[in-house]
Amino acid sequence: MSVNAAAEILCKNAARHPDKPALLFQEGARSYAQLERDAWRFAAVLKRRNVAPQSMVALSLPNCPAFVAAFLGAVLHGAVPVPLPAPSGPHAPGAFCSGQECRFILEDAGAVLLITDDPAQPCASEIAVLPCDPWGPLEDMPLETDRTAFSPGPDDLAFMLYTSGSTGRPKGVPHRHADLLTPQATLGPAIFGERPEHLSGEVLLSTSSLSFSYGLMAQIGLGLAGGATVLLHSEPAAAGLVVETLAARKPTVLFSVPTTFDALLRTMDPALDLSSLRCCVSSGEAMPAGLHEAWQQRTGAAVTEVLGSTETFTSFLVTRPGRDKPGTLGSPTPGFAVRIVGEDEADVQDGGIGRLLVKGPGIATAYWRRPDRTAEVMRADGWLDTGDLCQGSQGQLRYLGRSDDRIRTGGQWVVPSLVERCLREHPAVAECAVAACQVRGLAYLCAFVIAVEPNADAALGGDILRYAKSRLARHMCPVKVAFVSELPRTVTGKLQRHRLQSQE
Amino acid sequence: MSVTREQLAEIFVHAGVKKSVVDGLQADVPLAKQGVDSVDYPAILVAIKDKLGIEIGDKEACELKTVVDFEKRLNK
Repeated sequence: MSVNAAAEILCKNAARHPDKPALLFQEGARSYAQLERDAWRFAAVLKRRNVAPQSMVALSLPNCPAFVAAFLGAVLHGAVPVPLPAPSGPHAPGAFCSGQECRFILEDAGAVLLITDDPAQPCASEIAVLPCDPWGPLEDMPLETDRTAFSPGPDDLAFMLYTSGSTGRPKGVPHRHADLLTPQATLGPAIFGERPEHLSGEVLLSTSSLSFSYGLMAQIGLGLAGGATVLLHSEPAAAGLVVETLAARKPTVLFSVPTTFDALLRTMDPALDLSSLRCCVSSGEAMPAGLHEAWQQRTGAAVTEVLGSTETFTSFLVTRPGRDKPGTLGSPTPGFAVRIVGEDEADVQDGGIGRLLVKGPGIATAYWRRPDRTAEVMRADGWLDTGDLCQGSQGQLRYLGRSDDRIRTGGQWVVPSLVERCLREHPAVAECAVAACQVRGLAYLCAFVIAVEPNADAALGGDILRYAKSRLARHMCPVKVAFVSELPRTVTGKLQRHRLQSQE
Repeated sequence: MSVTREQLAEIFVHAGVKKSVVDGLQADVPLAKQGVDSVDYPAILVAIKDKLGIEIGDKEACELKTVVDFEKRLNK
């Protein structure tokens, strides 16, 4: 038997410091004792509704106390919470996102219940709904007196996250109970020191939502598991609002991504006191050296960079500020091992380029109902093929890109074909392809466009960029339009996006 | 090189910033507080490079918060 991960996180901390704020949200707070009670309330409702252990329960909630309580309550009960992606802007009709994506996930997961603060949303019409308030369970939800947590077997699932597939169809990544506890046992000491309660004195803010692997790891897997106070931000992507929160609530630890660190620097008032920040963690893509330096000068806090994935849940590579060069991936988190292999699956020599493989605790062992992809990525000997192309030289790893077409920008994956589908609907676009481009060392999207009319100019480029912004989530919007007369294709007509990348 | 405010405004529009946002910009207020968002900023740097041939360095770009900051950098 494994321990129930939610019981381990809640009971241990509620016993140790019941009145300590576990969550800060808007102007209020939830103590560890209150959070434990709220989670048991959700567990009791699932029990009364006859939700069987290991049933999938979808969560459609923003970053708020209800997300945390419902997530942990479901895990206490033995159900499997499945967070739906948080919306981050307008979406293209016909593109695989927003409502369509949620419907797909509900069906693919086989969810039996949707917990949401917005029962009027379209996908709520197709499934049993448990409405709640952003602050937590509704007052008429029963208080459970029998607090016996589900006792999981080693292979029982605790939660499932969805990640974008290379074709745009999301893949479910189920994780077990032990996986939720892995960040605190491995990554926590690597970043914050070896003390058993290494985070208990910290106030932690993440600009990545709880519905993303990185945000969930930071806020629950590290923050709450480590006994910290977690500062929940309802709009973590809005730099202006995050700056207000930094000023008002004085977090000591900030988890973010390079593009947001950059946006925060440009939004902050020069007089803003950031002396409370003692540790900053960045993920999603390599942080350029200049941004590192500017952030440390402005805040006094060095940035630790980590790399993980939805499949690993725990970040498995971590830099040591002052020791690792900016732009490198650092060393494996204690307990993890990495290899770089070539097309022949053998380890490449020092300086060679290959795919990054990782092995370690808490890694998912299968995709949900996708034996084909599982066989390609998750190997029987425990190694996970990340699909990331890397170069290892003299102990320093560098990220070079993806072995598939997906692009990681702003800490999120983008499937180029979804952006292209939107751009093709612009009346002046005959054909297009989207590839990565670098601006100040960060990855963004460049749209290579064949225009309907010749003599397309910069004004049309600006119009296409605005068109994309009105229809796509922010991280899916190109920052440049390059007009071309043809797109590189194979003899069979397949688009060769990697050749566009080299042109930029 | 001399870049006028009108030229800078045109570059912003070519970078995909809404015309209504560009027309209403106050020169000494951070762009991030006036509707210029996380996608617009790198697009502006790309448009400056394309239009003016000026590549703004990694670290100095962090200091460019307002229209006045951009004007000073492009006209130095």
